[in-house]
Amino acid sequence: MTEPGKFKERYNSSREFRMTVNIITGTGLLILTLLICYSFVLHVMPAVMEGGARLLPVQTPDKMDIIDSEDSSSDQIKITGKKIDELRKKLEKQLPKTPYLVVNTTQNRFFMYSGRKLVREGICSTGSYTLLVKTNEQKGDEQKWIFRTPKGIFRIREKKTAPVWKKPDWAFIEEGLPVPSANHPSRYEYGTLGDYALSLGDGYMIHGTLYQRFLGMPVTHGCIRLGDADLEAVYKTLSTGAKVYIY
Amino acid sequence: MKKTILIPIIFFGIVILLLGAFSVMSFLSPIKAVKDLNLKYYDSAFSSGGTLKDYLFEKEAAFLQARTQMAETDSVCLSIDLSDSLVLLEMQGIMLLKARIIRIEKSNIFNRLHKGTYLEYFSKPLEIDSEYSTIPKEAFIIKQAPKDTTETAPPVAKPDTLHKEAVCFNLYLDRNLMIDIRQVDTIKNEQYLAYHKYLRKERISNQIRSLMKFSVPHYEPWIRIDIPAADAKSIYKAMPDHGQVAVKL
Repeated sequence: MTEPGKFKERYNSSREFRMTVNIITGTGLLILTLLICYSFVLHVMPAVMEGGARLLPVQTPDKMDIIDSEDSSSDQIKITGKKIDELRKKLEKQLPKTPYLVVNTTQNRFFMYSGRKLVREGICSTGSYTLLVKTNEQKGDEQKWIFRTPKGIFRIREKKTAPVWKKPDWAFIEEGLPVPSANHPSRYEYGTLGDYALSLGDGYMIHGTLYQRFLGMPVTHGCIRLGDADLEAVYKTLSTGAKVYIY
Repeated sequence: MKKTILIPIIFFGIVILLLGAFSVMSFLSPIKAVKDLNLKYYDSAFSSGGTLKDYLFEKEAAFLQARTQMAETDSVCLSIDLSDSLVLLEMQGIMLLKARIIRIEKSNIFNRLHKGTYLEYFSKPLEIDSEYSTIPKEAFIIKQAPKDTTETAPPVAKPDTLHKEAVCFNLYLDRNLMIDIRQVDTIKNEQYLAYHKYLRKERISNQIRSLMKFSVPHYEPWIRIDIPAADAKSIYKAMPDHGQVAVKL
């Protein structure tokens, strides 16, 4: 091969090599830049933002570092103190005058209070959050029932001993049984609800259970189930009209 | 050869300049936020003078005022008392649940607000605008009614008590405040990672939007608290969609 040909070949391969290096370097730099920008937005900016806030003078400190050595403006404190007392009294007025019940449906626990004093606490069972669906293939429609303990403020409407459970339609449907007429004897179950029942209205009750092992779990159709001893205590303490807070 | 060195240098120079400019804007962001809050919420009815003790009494009064207003509704409300490290779930002023706050972190701007601004801002309940959580508020099990007794399903199985979920949720409140509530000793599972990813995405998209317009990024004051898992779960499931929150720093 002649000298100029060799030179041309060497020159071309060197140029290609340089192009490759440039492309790789350029891509690397671009990726590095993107990483730097991403890290900047993710980490540096939030830190700088909080840092910026620190430069401002503190106007309203959190803690009382030195209380006694400061002269307080006693008039202002008296006014504010009076306002605090009034507000506290207003909140106290909301407290029921008779014992009341608080039910936590997430943890399946109940708390019975008299004023601010906790009288009794324990486990209970609340709604299972089941949606029962019955499909009517002939009509092509569906019936639905939601088994959930309602939340809010309720009052004890009625108190019963040796309650009898009048089974609603869903109690038969979920067992695959035919639904009997409204007052059919098979609708009535004795002993299932325990020794006592306290009605909250709309079919919801606080009652006992045969399934003591399921206490503390969300297994009911909406009612609140208590153990025998707890049920007796609640029945004897809460009067008709007592408040029940369910959350 | 010189060209090949010059181009990356210029490129990096531009990037560094831009990052420098964005840093300055980020720096100004909380300062602007404090200024805006002072302009919007400053109430001269609250005395500007007074001692630290006066101020702490006024803070307590503002908190009680917000709680008293919340007690007039029938809904479940949340009261967060950072000075006593307590979270209270209340309904008509009745305490339903009390949880101890194990860990607190908060934005640095709260202490930089004017006293009148702080007291006006926190003397009324805040309302939840939106929320994001790792757990559902209500999770239903769908059960098909059996056609006859042969299809009847066996009794409800005992819940899997070994299943651990990461309970984290944040509440975006109406006065541009974000409260991040997490369970203590968060389990870093998929839900937790998804939660972190969501928060990061929110933060980054807000910042990038501002930077694209070359404006000072929007600063959102925040409070983060860690409480026991069971309490965090109870609180989230109890709070209504646009529930009210009272805060005392």
